[in-house]
Amino acid sequence: MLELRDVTAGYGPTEVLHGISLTVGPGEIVTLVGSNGAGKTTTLGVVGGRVQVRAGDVRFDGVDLRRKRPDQRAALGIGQVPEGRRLFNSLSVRDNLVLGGFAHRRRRAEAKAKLAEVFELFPILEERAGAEARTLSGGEAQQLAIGRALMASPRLILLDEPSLGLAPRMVGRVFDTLRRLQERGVAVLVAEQNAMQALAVAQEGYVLVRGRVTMRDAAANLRDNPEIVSTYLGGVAA
Amino acid sequence: MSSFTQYLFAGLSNGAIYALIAIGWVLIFNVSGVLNLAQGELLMVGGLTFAWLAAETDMPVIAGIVLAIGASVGVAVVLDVVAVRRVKSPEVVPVILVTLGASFVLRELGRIVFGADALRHGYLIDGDPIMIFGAALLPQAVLTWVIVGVVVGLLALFFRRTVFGKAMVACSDDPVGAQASGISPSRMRTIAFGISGALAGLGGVLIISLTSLSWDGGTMIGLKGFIAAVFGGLGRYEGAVAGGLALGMLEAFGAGYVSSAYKDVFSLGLLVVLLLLRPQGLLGGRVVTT
Repeated sequence: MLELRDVTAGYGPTEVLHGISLTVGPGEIVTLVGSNGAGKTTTLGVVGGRVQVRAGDVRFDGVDLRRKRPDQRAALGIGQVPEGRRLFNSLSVRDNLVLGGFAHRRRRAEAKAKLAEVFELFPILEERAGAEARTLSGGEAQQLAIGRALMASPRLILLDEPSLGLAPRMVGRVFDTLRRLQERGVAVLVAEQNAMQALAVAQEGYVLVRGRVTMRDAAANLRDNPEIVSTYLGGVAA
Repeated sequence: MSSFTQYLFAGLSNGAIYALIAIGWVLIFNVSGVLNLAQGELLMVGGLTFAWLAAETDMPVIAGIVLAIGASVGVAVVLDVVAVRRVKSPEVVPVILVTLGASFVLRELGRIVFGADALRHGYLIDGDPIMIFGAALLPQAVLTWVIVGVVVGLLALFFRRTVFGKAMVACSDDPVGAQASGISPSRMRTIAFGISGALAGLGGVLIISLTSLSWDGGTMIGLKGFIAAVFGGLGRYEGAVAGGLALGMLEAFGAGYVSSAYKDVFSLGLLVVLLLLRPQGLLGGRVVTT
C-alpha cells in the first residue's frame, strides 16, 4: 500500500534521511524505532507531504506522492496526526472533527454517520463536542487529533509521538485505539519514543539510526532482541 | 449638541467603511499571514468602476454595484493567483512587497482607464435629511450603516456556520493541521482575497456615493483600514469593526473640533502611537513582525 524506496530528504541544506526504504501493507501497524534525531518525524513528513523528497520514490497504492500536496494526500486516504496534534484551537471539538472530513465534501447525513462512528470510538469527544479544542486535556486532545484524522476515512494513518505528554493510563488507551483502527482495516505508521508499547501493537518495526534503516523485522522479534531493547527500549527484553 | 451629533453621524459613516476595509485586511492576514498592501486600490477599482458605469451606460444601479464589486473581486483573485501564489519564498515579506508592487500597477491602470479626474456618483438613496438633536442625518448615511451591518452579520454567519468559513478559521489557527486535514491553505487564501476584494469593492461603491474618489484616492482609505485593523487588534474581526468605527469618529471629532486640515494627521498619528505603545491593538491581537 505504502512504499518508500531509497528516499533521501531533509530541510534546507541539511540532509536527514539517506536512502530509506520501507513498506506498510493494508491494515498493518508499522512502528519506527529510533532515538531523537534518527529521522522518524522526517520519514512521516515525507509520507505526509511536509518534507520534500530529494531522491527516491514514494508511492501510495501505486500513486506517486512526490508532487502531491499534503491536502491532496489527505484526499487520497492518508490521515495525519502530527506531532503537537495541530488542532484548531478556537473551534469546537465537533467543528475540528467535521473539518477532518473536508476533503470529501460529504452530504450532511454521511458526515453525521461518520461523526457517530468517531464518537463511538471516543465517547469523551461526544461529551465535549461543543467545547473549544483549546480547553481539552492532553488525552482528550490526542483522541480528537486521531478522531479528526479518521473523519476522512483514511486507509493509512500517520501518527507522530501519539503518547507524548500523556499520563500512563491514557498512553495505554491510545495504543488500544491503534488496535481498534487495525480491526477496521486502517493501516498505521507510527513514530514513538515509547517504543516498547508501540511494538507491542505493531506487526513490523524499522530501526532508524541517523537517517538510515539499520534493521527491519517483525515487531515481536525486535521486542525480544537484547541489543534493540538495551539501546532503544530502555529495559529488559520482554 | 447639534455639532456633536453631526460629527458622530459623519464618524459612523466613514468608520463603517473603514471597518469593511479593515475586515479585508484581517481576513487575508488571518488566513495567510500576509498583509495585502493593494487593499486600497481594490476599493478604488470598485468605486471608479461603479461611477464610470453609471456615467457611461444606462445600467440599473444594482447591476452597476454588482459589476463594480465583481471587478474588485476579479482583480483580487488575479492578484493572488498570478502574483502572490508564485512567490516561492516561505517568508512573508516578499509576498507583501509583491502586493505593494501590485498597488502601484493598479493605481496607474486606474489613471489610464478612468482618467486623472476624480469621479463621483450621487447618493444611492434620495430623500430629505432626518433631523436628530439638530443634526441632519442623510438617508445615504443610514443606508451605509445598514449595508455594512448586514455584511458584517453575514460574514459572522459565514465563519460560524459554514464549513468553508470554519476551514478559513482552521487555516488561521493552524495551517499545518489544516493541510493535514485536506484543506488547501492556498485555495483558502484565494477565497480570502476574493472576499476581501468584495468588501473593498463595496467600500468603494459606498465611498463614491458619499464623496468623490480618484485613481490615487484608494491608497489613503486602504491605509486607514489598516490602521483600524491594528487599532482593534490585527487578527480580530470584531476588533476591525470596533477599530473602524473608532477611527472614523476620531477623524470626525478631530476635524470638527480642531481642524479638518488635520483629519489624516489624527489617523496616521494614531498608527504611530499604536505601533509604539500597543502593537497588539486595543482588544489584543497578533503583532505584525517580519
